[in-house]
Amino acid sequence: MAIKILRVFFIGLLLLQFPLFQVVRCQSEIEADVEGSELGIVREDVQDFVGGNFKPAPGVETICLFPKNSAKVVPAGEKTELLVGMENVGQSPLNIIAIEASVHLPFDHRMLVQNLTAQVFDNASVPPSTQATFPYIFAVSKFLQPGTFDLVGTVVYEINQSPYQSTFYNGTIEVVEAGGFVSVESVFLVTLGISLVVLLGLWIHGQFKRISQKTKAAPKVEVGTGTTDASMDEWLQGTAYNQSSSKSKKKK
Amino acid sequence: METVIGNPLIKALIILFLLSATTAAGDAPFIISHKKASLTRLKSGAERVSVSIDIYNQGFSTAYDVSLVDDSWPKDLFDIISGNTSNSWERLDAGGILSHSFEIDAKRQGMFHGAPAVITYRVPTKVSLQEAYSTPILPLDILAERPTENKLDWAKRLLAKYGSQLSVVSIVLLFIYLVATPSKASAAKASKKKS
Repeated sequence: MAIKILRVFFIGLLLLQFPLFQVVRCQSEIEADVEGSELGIVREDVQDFVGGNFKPAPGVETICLFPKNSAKVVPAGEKTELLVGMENVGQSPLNIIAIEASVHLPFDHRMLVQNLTAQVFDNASVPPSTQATFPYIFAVSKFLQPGTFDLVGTVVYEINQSPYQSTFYNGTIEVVEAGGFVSVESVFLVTLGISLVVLLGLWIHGQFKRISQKTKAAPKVEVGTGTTDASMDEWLQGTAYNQSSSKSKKKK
Repeated sequence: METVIGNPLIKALIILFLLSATTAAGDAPFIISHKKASLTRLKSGAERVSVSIDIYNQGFSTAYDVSLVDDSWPKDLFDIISGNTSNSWERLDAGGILSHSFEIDAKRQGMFHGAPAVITYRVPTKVSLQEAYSTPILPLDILAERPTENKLDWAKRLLAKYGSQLSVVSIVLLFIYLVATPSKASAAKASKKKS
């Protein structure tokens, strides 16, 4: 009955999975996808600026903040937001072109783990003697192993048509596994734990019984499947067996 | 001693040190402001925009008379339902955070591009009012047409989301049931062996 239920259940499971089947495809490049990254129409000359190496401008201060996330926890595969604060101490307004970031290994900064998608701005400017904040939403690859990594974030901007670049963050982030409480592994582990505890309890219970029975009289020895009726052993009359049983009967 | 101080190099170093001390960014507040807007479709068909603005002070000194003004919601397009688009506080200490939120109803359909909110504050070392801008918001699609999801897609989405967890839990429960209840076939076999 239970085997039948099992069979029906597994066939049902297989059938239910059919609409969700997806062939696993190998990605040649693991790029993080940032949704809604563009806050306006893209400038034509953005490609010249993004990826280049420029010096920071002297009258610009940058600061980075992970809102409500002081431990800098980044769930793998899910969106994380950070805020870039820019202060323009100079005399002319500056235009933000793009914010880009990359993830590196903590012990060797030259080893690049992932280049995060750059976020381009069209109409973002910071007037002189003001501070402004810009958001940067990114997502690391969901296959990235949990651990500590280095995040380097730079902001590319221009003052009077000259491009500059400042690093607003060059520190560690904590990548953790994204996932709910109920997952395949946790359910199996919890059930295994409970069953081990139950087994242990049963074994201890058995040990207690054994010990308590030892203190009592010797347990009754079963003498076979049938009843020891003397009438059944008539074919054993006169043999050694019959004599010994009659002796034991007399003793009793 | 006099020759050491009189040395022009030492004089230059001292002047440089004093200059750098006064122009260091480490003694001013740095205001970072995060503006978030989310859309909710009400049952009456109107679109409600919930705006929340967080102000952080990541600098090293206190900002006084912090005032927040969000004029990016024109009166002909939005109605204020609760709260106020401006607020002010006496001070924001270094490392502190202030929050303000309000709700508005959108009247007209279309894409709306919001401007950042403006925060002004005072510092003891400067006379003029300091300005800071919040983050801009993503374009909001007001009263957008949402395609209705048919039942099959909804069921598929739920299955994809919870299918693995549900199947794991049911496999485990079924296994426990199998182990705990002896089946009739096996009981019959056992009795056969005994007799």
